[in-house]
Amino acid sequence: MGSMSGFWTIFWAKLSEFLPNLLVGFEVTLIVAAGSFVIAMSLGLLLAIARQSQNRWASVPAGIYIEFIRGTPALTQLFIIYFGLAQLGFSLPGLVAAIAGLGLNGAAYVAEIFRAGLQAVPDGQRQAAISLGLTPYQTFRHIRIPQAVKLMMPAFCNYAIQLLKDTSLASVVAAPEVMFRARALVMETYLSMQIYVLVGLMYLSISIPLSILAGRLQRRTVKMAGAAA
Amino acid sequence: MPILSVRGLQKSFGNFNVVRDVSFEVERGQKVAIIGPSGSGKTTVLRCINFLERPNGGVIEIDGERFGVRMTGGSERFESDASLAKKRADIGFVFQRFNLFSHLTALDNVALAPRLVRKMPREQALEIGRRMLARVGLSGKENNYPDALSGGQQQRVAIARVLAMQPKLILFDEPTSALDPELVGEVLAVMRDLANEGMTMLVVTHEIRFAAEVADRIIFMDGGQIVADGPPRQVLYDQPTDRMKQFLRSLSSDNAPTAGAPS
Ligand SMILES: Nc1ncnc2c1ncn2[C@@H]1O[C@H](COP(=O)(O)OP(=O)(O)OP(=O)(O)O)[C@@H](O)[C@H]1O
Ligand SMILES: [Mg+2]
Repeated sequence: MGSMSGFWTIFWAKLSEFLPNLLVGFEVTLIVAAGSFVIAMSLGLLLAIARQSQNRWASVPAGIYIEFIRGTPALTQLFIIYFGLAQLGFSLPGLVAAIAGLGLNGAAYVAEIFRAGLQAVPDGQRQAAISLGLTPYQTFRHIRIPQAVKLMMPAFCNYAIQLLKDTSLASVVAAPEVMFRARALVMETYLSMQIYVLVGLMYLSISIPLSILAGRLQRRTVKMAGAAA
Repeated sequence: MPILSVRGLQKSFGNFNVVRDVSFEVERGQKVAIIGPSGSGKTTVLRCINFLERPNGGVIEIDGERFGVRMTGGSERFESDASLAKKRADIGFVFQRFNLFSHLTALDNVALAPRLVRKMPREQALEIGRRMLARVGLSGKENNYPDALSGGQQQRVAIARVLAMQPKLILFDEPTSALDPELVGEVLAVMRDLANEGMTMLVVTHEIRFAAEVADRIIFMDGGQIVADGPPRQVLYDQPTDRMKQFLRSLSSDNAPTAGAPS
C-alpha cells in the first residue's frame, strides 16, 4: 500500500516530465497511423479494382496478395520489411518501415471493404448508367463509388481504430511512437502501471470518438438499406 | 431506312440458345410491341440491341450504322467501350425495376447523363432535367430521392432520364410489371403521350390491351424465335396460332385484349 502511494506521488511529481515526452510519441503514432492509412486506402482501392477485373493478370496477383497479407501476422510482415530488407541491403528507418508495413498490410483489408461495398451497389444501376451512354469509368466514378463509399464508411472507421492500435507494433522496429517512448520511460522509472494507463488513455481519446462515429454511420447505413428495400 | 435493323440475332448463355435467328426492323416513329411467354428471350433481344449483352451472332444497325463491331482493315473488331457508349447514348432503355441512381435526387438522376455524356453545362442540364420531369408529370418532385417516390413515380423519372438524352429510339422492358396495379396506369399514360408525340418505341410488355391500342406492330416471340410479326389485329385475332391462344389465355383476364380493339 505504502509503496503504491509512493509510486503515485512520484508519478504526479513527474507527470509534467512524462506528458510532453509521451505526447511527442503520440504525435509520431498519429503520423504512422495517418501515413499508413493513406497508403492502405489508395493501394486498397487499386487492389479491389484489380481483384474484380476480368483480366487474370490483374485479378490473380491481387488475390494472392490479399490472401498472403490476411493469412500472416502484421508483425511478421513488419519484420520482413524492416529486418528482411535490411539483410538484403535496403535498411529503412523504423518509422518508414512501420508506415510502409502497416500501409501494405491495411491495403488488403481495405480492398475487401471496397469489394464488399461495390458489390452492395445494385448492378441494375450500373446497367442503367451504361445504357445512358456513360463509360465504364464514369459509371464507376459517379454511380458505384459514391454509393459504395457511403456503405463502407462504418467499416472504414472500424479499420481506422484497428490501425491506430496496430501502430504500437511500430515500437518493435524502433519507430519512436508512443509505446516505444513509454517503454523507455518505464525502464527508467519502473512506473509501468501509471505510464501504460496514461498511454491507454491517449489511444482512447481517438478511438472512442471514432467508435461513436462508426456507430452513427452504421445506423444511418442500416436506415438507408431499409429504405431501399 | 429503318431506325433499327436486327438481322439474324443470336445469343446463348453457355450452350443454351436463348435467342435464335431473330430479325426485324423498326421504322422511324413506329411503335412495336414484343410479347411472348416468360423465358422466350424478349429481354435478351432488347439487351442485345444496345449491347448490354454481347450477341453471339447477327447484325444490329441503328440508323444504318453497325453497332458493336468495327471494321478495321477488312476485319471485324469489337467496338471500344468509349465508342459503344457514344452509340448507346442515342438509345433509351427503360428497365423493369427502374434502376434509378439511389444516391441522386430525381432531378440529378435526369441531369447526370446530359452533363457527363453530352458535356452540357450544369445549369443547362438541370433546366432540361426540370423540363423532362414536368413532361412526365413530376414537377415538384425534383428534390426527392428515389426511395421517397412511389414505384410509378420512379418509373416516370426513369423515362424522363431517358428522354433527357433525346434518344432516337426507346427500348422498354416490361416497364409496368414491377408496379402495383393501381400505379400501372400513370406509366402507361406517359408512354401513350410519347407514342402520340411520334417517339420511336420498342416495348416488351404483358399489357396486351396497351400493345393492341398503341403499337403499329406486334411481335410474338416463343422459344427464342419470332413466330409472328404484324399489325396487332392480325397477330392477335385474325390468324392466332395455338401457341398464341394459349399465351393469351395465360394472361390475367383483366389484362386480356378486348375483342375488336383498334389496330
Ligand atoms: N445472364 C444470363 N445467364 C444465363 N441465362 C440467362 C441470362 N439471362 C437470361 N437467361 C435465360 O435466358 C432465357 C430467356 O430470358 P429472357 O429474360 O430474355 O426472357 P424473357 O422473354 O424476357 O422472359 P420474362 O417474360 O420472364 O421476362 C431464360 O431462360 C433465362 O433464364
Ligand atoms: Mg424479360
